[in-house]
Amino acid sequence: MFDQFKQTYFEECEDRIQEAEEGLTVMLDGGADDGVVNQVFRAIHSIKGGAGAFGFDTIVGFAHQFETTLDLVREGALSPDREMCTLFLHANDIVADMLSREQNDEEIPSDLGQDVLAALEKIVAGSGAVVADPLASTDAGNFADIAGVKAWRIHFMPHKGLLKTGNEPLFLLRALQDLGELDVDVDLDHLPSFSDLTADHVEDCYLGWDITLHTEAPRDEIVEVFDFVEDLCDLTIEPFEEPVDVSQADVPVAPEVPLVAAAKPAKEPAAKKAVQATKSSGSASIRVDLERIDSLVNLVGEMVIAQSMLQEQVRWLPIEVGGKIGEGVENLARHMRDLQESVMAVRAQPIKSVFTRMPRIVREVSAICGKDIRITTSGEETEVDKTVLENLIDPLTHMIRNSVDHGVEKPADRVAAGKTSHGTIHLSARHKSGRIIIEIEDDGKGVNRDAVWAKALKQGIVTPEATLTPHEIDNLIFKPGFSTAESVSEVSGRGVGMDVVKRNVSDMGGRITVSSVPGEGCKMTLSLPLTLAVMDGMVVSVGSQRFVLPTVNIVESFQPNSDAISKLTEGVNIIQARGEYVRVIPLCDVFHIDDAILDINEALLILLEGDDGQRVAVMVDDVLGQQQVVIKSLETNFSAVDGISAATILGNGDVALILDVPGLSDMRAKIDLKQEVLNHALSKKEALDQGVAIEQEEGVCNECSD
Amino acid sequence: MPITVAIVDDSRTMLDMVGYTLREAGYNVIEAEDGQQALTMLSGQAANVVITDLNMPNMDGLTLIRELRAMATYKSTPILMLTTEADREKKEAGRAAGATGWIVKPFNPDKLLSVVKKVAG
Repeated sequence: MFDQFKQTYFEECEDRIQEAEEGLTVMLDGGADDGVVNQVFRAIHSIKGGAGAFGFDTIVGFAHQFETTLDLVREGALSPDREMCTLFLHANDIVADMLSREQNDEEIPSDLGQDVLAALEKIVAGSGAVVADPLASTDAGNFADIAGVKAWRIHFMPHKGLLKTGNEPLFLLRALQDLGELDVDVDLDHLPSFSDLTADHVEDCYLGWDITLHTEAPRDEIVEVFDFVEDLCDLTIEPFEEPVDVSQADVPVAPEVPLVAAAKPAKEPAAKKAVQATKSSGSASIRVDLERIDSLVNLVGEMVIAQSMLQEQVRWLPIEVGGKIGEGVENLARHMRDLQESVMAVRAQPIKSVFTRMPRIVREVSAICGKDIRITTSGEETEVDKTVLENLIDPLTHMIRNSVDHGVEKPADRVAAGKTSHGTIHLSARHKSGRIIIEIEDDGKGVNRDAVWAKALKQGIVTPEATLTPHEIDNLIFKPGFSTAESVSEVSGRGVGMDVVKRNVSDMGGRITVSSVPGEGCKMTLSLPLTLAVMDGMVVSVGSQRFVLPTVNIVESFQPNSDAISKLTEGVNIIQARGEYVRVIPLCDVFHIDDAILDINEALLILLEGDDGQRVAVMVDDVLGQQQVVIKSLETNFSAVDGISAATILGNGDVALILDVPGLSDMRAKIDLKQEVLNHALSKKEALDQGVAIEQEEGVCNECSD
Repeated sequence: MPITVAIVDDSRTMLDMVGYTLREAGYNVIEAEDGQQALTMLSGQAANVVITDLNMPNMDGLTLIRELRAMATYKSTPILMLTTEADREKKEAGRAAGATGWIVKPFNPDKLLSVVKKVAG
């Protein structure tokens, strides 16, 4: 009958497993206090409780043994060392495994976790504790049924305290009545005389009952009626036919019943302590189907578009009409922004859920590699959009594996290099100008630049003439087809390299870079959008086209001073801006827009900075304004284009492309290349004009057109 | 007036299942997820029966029982503890705190109802 609750149970168990794992990890590192141990115990205990309700006996059995062992730790009878904690972690995995099998209606193999179970049993046996059988009936009667008895004689004399426990003799008699016909005599022998009754006695019970019960029910059922009060009353239950000496009665149960159940004394001032309306009400939450939230997010997105269209229209109204309406629209815009932020906050979740998976990966992988690595985390509370969070798991896992496998050295090598024998990986998250930055920093040997360079040459990723900065060489590891591992290792090999990580990250509108100091370690930085749905953008015009530049990337916009412009080669300009030279990218060239301003002296430049600090200046005709734009992915219908991250719908209904700044700076190379080809072709053409034979021109052009 | 039963458990599954069983049987059910929350809830809203888990964060079941017993309203209200423990120790600790009785997890719906009936009439 409880099948409808199974889903809730499995969801809850996921959280419990997580909690247990967190606690066990702390225990493993030796930092556990009673609270942590209790947290783990409670998690397993709770899983067992639910498993029992659904009849998952295998889980109950295993969890029970696990729980018993944890209980010994809790009581201080066991002090777990690293080895034991590792076993516990393993046991936790097995519980998780069993749960997921139950959830998927799979059979649990009979040998699953048997070794761990045996190890747990051994620990418990070693401590001398006794384990109760979890599936055994807990209320089994101690007395064999006396067959053939049709009536029972029951003497029930409550002790003083019975009423204080909230038990009510009347209800017990009614429960007896459910078993059969009752004859009840009240035993008034202990009732004091009226004059002796004082306020002190008001909660005491003086009445007793002699009951004859005619029933087919076995004795156990009668005993069970009194199970809550057996230590609070004198109770004898014996077959009626044979009058039996009361002193030999078989169930002497000593109840003390304050008789005065009905006489609930005058109300005291309601306990003051009790009114601690602290955080309890604050933690109220509901579970909502993600689809509903997504549709809400979409609706809000549509409203943002509608609102910006409205704003656009109002702008052209004559002032006497538009003034008031304009105010209203401005108000609307403000609320719309709040609404949007609130909706986004609903989807936001702390990154903790992803971070907590990582210690286990580090543990497992470092065990395989024979390394000793600790992982520390910070910024777990940083909130990220749920979809981003989900998509983050794979790349992050891969990067962590990579750090363990290739980054941190083996203990002996570390010691030889004058480092501590154990390596450290630090995982952190923080918000930075509208994006989330995740860093994985290790204190290993850093990227092997020579090997990377050699490999890149071999794979044809770079040409021998290329001049790259050390930073650029390090980042070659993200190029497609690159993998420095000489042999595919068990750990991070698997035929995928960092390029896959990069692709996963780019698909979310994120970027990844690595910076490394040889011998000291390496740091991978992931930069992701906070949300995948909206962003602040600046709308610019280039000829008849409109583009959106992410506001977070904009440093400044300015009219170029012709003195500051230097021409490198034909059509390639750099400009001095804020003390450094940056490349000018004319959008009209990149996107082949013919009706744009071509003269750099008349155009407007916008200085942009990528997350990696790379700056470029894009040349546009004009800046039209700043607004919130709803991101519409293009990649559902089109393949990815460098320099364009998505599209949006503007207030006037036009579609505008959203530009991707690092993508734009990557395009430099290609444009340069094209320019060279062009120059090359031009010179060839001149040569041709002069009647000189041309060789292999086609080949060159084919190679360079992408 | 239907009898109001307060269920206190940090496990959503237990709250749902116990709640379902009791609601089906016509009881009015109110819920809290730990002792602290229960205390706040029960200070504002009276229950005729309280069913509480023992091991919970923020405030455990035994403390909750003691706190409730210290309040005039709950001085003799039936309080049942949910426990998977078969051992007497737990029951005795509960009894010492003022518990009326216990419900063994995993619970059998009929047993749950008969126990509630036995303490609440």
